[in-house]
Amino acid sequence: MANNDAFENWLSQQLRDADDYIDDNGFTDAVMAKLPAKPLFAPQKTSRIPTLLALLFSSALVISVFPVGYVVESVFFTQVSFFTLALAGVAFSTVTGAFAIFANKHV
Amino acid sequence: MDIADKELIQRTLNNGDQRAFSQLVLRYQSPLRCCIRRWCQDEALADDLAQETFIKAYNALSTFRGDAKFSTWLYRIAFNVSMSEQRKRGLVLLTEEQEQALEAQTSKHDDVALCEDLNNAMQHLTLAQQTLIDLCLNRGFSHQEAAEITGMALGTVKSHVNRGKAKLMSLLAIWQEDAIHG
Repeated sequence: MANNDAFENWLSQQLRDADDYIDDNGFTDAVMAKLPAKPLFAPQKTSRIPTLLALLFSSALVISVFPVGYVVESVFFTQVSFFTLALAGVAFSTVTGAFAIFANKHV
Repeated sequence: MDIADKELIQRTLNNGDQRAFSQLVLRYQSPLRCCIRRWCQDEALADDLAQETFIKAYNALSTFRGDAKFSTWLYRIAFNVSMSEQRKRGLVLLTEEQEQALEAQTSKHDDVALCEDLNNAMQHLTLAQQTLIDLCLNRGFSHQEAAEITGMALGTVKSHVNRGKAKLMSLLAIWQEDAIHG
């Protein structure tokens, strides 16, 4: 076992010694010249369009089933105070704004 | 100070910074070209294959997940590019059974072929043994990483490395004794 390890270490060293450093000599420039001119971008940036389409579709679906008329009618007839309506508006804006920021960061 | 591979990859992907990728090419060009030269025994062809490897790596960079080392991922591309070329030239990695049959046929000749030159001794190994000995003992990849690079099962990798080592041990016996014991 020790003999085997000694041989492995020796062999490893011999292989490394036999590997000379190859000078670049224009190799990197040749590779870079052959790369596509258009720069790469991370996949999350290129996958935004399908995700945004899915977001719009789901929003449209929610709006289509949301009883807008009923809500407006209820608000009108129950005579909710201006202050309560303003508060509800601020709360709604805060929630949707937070969602938009979250979606923008993670989409 | 060297910038980590992951940082250079992120710069390439997030900022479209091709200079960051050129740093990766500069960093890996020498070991990769050495490795491919060993695999295909043709310097000009090896350099062409190394170029092809870097171009493929660039185009597929967004698929690099970062759960393996960049070098493992890069060498896997290099291995696939090289083996594809070898297949065109009629050279293929044999299965373990085919290699054992081949070794049984040639062992009588190799018994007496003691070598005093490592490169010469390496030529007595099968292509799979040469490849895996080089990856594990020279490039410092673990058996698991070598399995990922070559697409072989872990057990097959260990088997090739052990049989390759045993063969080199017998081929280089005298030279090694002199080197170790003076």
